[in-house]
Amino acid sequence: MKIPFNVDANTARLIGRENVSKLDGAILELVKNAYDADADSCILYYEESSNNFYLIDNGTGMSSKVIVDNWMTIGYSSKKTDYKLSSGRIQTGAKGIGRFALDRIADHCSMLSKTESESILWNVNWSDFNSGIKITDVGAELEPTKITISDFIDKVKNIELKNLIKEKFDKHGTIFKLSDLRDSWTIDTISDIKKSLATLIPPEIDNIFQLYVFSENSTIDESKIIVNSSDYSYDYKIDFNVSEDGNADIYIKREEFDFGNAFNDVVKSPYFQKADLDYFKGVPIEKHYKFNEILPDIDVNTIGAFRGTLYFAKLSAPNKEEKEKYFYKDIISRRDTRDTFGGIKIYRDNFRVRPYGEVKTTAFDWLLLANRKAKSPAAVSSSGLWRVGAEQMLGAVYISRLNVNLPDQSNREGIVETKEFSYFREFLIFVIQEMEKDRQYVCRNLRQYHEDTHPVEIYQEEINKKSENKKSNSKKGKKQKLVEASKAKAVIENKEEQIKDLEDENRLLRTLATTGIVTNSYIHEIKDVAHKLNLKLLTVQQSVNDGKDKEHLQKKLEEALQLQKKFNSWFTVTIEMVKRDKRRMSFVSIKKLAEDFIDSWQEVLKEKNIIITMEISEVNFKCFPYDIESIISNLITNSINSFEYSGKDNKNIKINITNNDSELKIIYEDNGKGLSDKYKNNPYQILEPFETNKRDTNDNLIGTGMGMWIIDKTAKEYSGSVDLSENINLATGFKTTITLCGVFK
Amino acid sequence: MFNYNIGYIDDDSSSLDDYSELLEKYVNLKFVENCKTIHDVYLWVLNNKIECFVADFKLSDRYTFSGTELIEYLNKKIPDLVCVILTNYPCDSIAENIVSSILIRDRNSLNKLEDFENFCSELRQASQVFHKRLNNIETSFSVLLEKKRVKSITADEEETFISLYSLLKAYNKIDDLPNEIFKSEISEKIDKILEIASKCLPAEDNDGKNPWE
Repeated sequence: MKIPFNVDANTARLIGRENVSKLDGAILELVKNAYDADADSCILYYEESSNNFYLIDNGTGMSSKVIVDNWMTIGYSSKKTDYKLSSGRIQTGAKGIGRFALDRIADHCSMLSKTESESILWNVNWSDFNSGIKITDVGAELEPTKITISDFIDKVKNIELKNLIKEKFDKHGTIFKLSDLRDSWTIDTISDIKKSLATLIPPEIDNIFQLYVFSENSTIDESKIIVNSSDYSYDYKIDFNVSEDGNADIYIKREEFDFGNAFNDVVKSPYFQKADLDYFKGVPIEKHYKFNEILPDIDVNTIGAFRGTLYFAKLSAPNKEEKEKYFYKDIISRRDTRDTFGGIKIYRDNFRVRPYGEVKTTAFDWLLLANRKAKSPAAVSSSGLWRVGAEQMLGAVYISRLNVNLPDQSNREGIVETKEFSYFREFLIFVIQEMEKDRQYVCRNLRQYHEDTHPVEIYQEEINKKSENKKSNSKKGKKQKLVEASKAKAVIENKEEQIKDLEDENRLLRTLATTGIVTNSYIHEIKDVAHKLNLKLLTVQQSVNDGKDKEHLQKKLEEALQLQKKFNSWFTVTIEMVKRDKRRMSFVSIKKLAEDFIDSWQEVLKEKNIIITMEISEVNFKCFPYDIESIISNLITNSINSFEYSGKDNKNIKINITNNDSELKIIYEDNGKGLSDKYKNNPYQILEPFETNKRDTNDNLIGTGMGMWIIDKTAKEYSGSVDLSENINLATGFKTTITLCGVFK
Repeated sequence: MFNYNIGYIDDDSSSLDDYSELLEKYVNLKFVENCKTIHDVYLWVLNNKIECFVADFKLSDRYTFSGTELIEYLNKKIPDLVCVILTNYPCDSIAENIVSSILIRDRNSLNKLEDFENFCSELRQASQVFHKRLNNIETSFSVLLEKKRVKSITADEEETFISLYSLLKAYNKIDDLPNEIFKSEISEKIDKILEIASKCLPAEDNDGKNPWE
């Protein structure tokens, strides 16, 4: 008598569980099932209020026979033999264990599957598998039904979801309702699933298979998973295509360089060839090889057809010098998406084959690009071989079930390491190398161009080299080679120009710093005016609501306009200073400049009951207008701080600007608290950067300590000085004389 | 509707009308006037029967104290009065650790009419709390008054009795009491002891000499 083997129900379940251990893995299995069922749409829906999860596809559905013979026979997979669907789509699963993903997600599962001819309801309680009985004794309920998918989800709360089902899902398909979920689901779970699916589904299948992840309140648009690669910023793109007969086409697109107006000067002989004109304009470089030219060890392509797209994207923005030298495009706005899109990933029939290119795992760099880089760390323009960094490459390689020599491992943890898999890797390295060669070709030529067009730098290098060699040459008794005077002059002139540029930059930064100091000092005041303006508008709103008379409304609006004026005055004080016309050295009427500028402060000062008196000579002085304004702004800011908590009713500032033949003198004084004891004996200490005694009510230092330092720096730019000596003897109040040397007209 | 008197202090009076207008439907906003010292403000609170108090944090343009210092003082004098800081400087006032951050409101959080409605609801609830507590104080005061009448009050209780009387009187919770009732039990007892002692002393000799010497 033959006794058939049987298996404990729980063991069967464990086999399934082994294969699907994580929630996102389980969901992916079910999505793959949907894709394999020839669905063009698949919906995942989590309903928070009922804690149920639904998975709906509009695939072919399963008949009762398919359910009994295939679906409920563990390990059976129709996909082993019939892997091409009527639509031509290649199915992705083959182990017949995907259905255990349902068990991973929830304890209880109801399924409605609708084909063109019948509808079947199927129910299973996975906890029945725990009861110690044999697998053949565990049953699921199966009954024919007349209900539609819309009926099945009649009680769900998301109306947009219901509408979508009615529109696209009612003819045939399968819907699972999973209850008693094993994980605790939150909005974050949904968001994680969305992110995970977005990276798992390559952009190419977006048109043929649309995924939605709904939550209770989400709309169709919010739920749709958009796989977006069009706005991806990269430096090089490599497309490749290998046909079954072993023809390999490689297309390399340069996106790294931007020559601007210099295009015709740079992209020409002797640096570049005629074809480069097109390549730099976005036409891909085409390369065609026979497979055995790339992989001499094999005559026939035993890997099969495959294709892919790889990107090279620098991660850090090049510095100014490099940018100038190599005409790199600006990549400051490039987003670092390595966490999502990093790594070179493999897709089989449009589904990810893990773990290749999986971020933060050892399989990330499965092509061992980092090893290559470590062996050859040469810079791109050097004579050595430049190698790309592993983290700079990303992309996707597409294989299919037809690549029989690249079989999946049974644990679905990658591809079996066949010799074809080694060839496959070798081929990809070759493709990457093609890009590396091209980039190095471009950068070496650009370097040459730079050297030819920037002789000063070459001279400088020569001077540096000769200077370094001086010691060794004199020791060896060799004659010292001299640098030509004209070359030295060119270097000096170049340096002088650079110094002037830096000085201009420095001056602008000082002014911007003043703007920052003023804004920072009055941020509360600015907030206060904004709040008052808001109050006025609210009173107007309330008055309208309450039907108050027109006069009242008018009064409030006028008051609002006054506040708006005050609001603007803060911006005048803070922002006007850096306007372009103030940044040009010219003869300026000091009286007009100072009066206009102080006038812009008046609104602010009036609010604080501070009175400014001025006595200014009519004189035209050659200066940068914003320097004078910066000095006055910093002094007034200090005075306003000094008046706070001084208890004074009369708060006065006096500004007297006079001149002699070569000096402009700004005599400034206020009757505030004066310098604190810390600075009384040595007032010049306040000219040091970061020196401050401004404190908040909690005695924390809150001043920037930059105001007087900026004034001192500005004075020195004009070969002038800051005199603070009178403060030593002042009981209260502050006084300074700022002298600026220059030319008058 | 104007059952609740809310006190408000600010060194900048330019927005007072707007605050009044926005809150007039719900509470009676009274502005602190003619006060120089913290104690002046305390007396103003009593005189105006303030049931909840709102203070700006920085009062430097008009006063020598800050809003938080004022609230600290008022809380010592009238612990049951809810005092709120309304400021553009919430971080600074919180960092001081003088007033609980729960009672510090950022002015910029009052952006909409609904925000004002909500703020008013909070002020009114705080006023109701104060009223409820005043009623409880009244009960405690009655107990002390009885002790006073039967002359069984202790020195500490007597002090409490007097401070509660001032508070309840200010808020019209009790009527005036006769002056004798405020004569301290202790001073009365000392007076009596002195009286008995003086009786025990023999009369002075005609020559004015003290017989104890």
